[in-house]
Amino acid sequence: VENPASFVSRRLETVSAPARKLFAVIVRQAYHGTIRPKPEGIATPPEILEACGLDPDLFYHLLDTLIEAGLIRVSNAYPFEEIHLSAEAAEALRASGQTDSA
Amino acid sequence: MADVTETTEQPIDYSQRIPNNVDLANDRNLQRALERWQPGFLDWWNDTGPAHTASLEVYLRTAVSVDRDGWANFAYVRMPEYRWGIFLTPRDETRIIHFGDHRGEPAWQEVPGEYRSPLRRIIVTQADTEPASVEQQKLLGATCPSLYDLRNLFQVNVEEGRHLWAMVYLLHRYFGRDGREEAEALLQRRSGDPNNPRILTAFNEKTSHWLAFYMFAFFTDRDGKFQLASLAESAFDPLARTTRFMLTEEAHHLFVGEAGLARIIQRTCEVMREHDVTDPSQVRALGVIDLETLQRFVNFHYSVTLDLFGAEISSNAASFYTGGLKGRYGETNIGDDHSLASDSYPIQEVANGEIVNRQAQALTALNARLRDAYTREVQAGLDRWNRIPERFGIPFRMALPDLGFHRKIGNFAGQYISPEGRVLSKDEWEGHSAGWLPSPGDHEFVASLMGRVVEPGKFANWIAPPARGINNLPIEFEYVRFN
Repeated sequence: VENPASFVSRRLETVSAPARKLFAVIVRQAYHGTIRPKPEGIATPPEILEACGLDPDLFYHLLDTLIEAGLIRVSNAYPFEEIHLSAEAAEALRASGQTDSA
Repeated sequence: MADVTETTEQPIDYSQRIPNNVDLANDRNLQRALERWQPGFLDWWNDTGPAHTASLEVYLRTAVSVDRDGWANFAYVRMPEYRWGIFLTPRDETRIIHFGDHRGEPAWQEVPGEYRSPLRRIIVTQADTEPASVEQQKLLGATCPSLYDLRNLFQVNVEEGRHLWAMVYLLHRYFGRDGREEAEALLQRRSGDPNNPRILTAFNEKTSHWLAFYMFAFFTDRDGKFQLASLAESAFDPLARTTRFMLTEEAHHLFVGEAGLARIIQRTCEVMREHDVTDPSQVRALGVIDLETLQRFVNFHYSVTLDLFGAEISSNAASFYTGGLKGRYGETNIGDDHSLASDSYPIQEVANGEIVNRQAQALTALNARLRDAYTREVQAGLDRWNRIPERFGIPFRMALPDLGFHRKIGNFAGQYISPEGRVLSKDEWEGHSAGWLPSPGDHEFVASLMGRVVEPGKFANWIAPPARGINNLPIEFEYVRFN
């Protein structure tokens, strides 16, 4: 079992810089995005894509990378995906205070 | 793209009349020239921008930084008060030219005299598309399917307006009186005006309903993306830096198109399943757009957008490349000698009644190469759409027509090609083309569905809401406030 405190940083080391940036945007939108009523901890493609300036193609490719790295999971089918942090990533970010609402 | 090792970043200055990160305050002549152009731009916006919207408060994003990690701010804005500005990505002091005859030389910070005319032409052609699309979409607000969609339309519109600013800055700053005159002319031409039309044919067509808007955003804006990406490789560094930031904004426009069409397909499939119908007339009777009609619109918008890439073989494209003015898509990441002197590239043409491949000089086939990259990306989008009917157990799948289908420019101009790539006689084409392209009746039917839905959380019947399953909460955010 990985140490929650270092889980995110260790997993982020395994992915590309654009994937790391996308993860940062997902975290921001999941916990601080206020554009529509939704439970905390969920981000959706419209708000992520608008906030990060990624092409849809690249976005979906990077999303797969983050899933493979165990940092996120996706529920619901295209085009209504909901993106959640994985349980480990959410716990690690909670522990570091990065999920506190603004 | 090369790692940026030494960059010069200028923060965006919003205290100025024209927001910018190009230190406009220290170039008084340029500042005054642009401030003289600004009222004309606002007149143009008020005259040809979204109709009857001046008092609406729209939840819009505005660029506050050129850093991709956190570049946008969201707030309610009246569109005529939107802070259109001039934003370039940071300058890389070490940037060199990656292709053509000048490969290895430092990127140009001024326009070389020998390239002044072609560069101006490239910039003006790109610039002309930005206001054109706003003009084409002027009346769509009157038939919006939801506040969410209305806001997305307005977001696209204001950012196309900002892209005009981006190009006009280059014209004013680097092309002297000629550039200023071109900037004025950009405000004079009008989409569809027979006396003073926009430069490219596709930008003089009407965008008469929301299906056409989403198709435009998915297919035609993507051509813009590929053109901008090629210019982002330019040896003329201010053009490269301008277009790089434009690409950040453009990406969302592509998503608006892709997601809008995906939601239309979703809604159609839901209704087909719910009522167990497949016949297009039965599907239409239920107030949604049948998949066969959507396919005809795909055929049309894809084929007319392919024409925007120009002829497969182009000496202009070759000279732009050799001169370093316009690169290939992803030029910096391509592992060849970046001169294309002895390379070949496969292109298609009609010979002996069939479509054949032949190898052409890579240098002259740059338009075909860019178009092929575009097609691959469009196909990936269609593959995502096709997951929707598959999920519903509906056998219909969207498909791109053959490259030669319904073309007016290049090797296939004057030919009659079926969507499957079969070479036809004129009579065969005329007997079948009504089933392949949207008819006046298709447009009439789609237009008949367009009502105005502006109650927060409500959506027109023919399109699914953008998100599902979030505790079944409605998407009731008030994206646009009517005052």
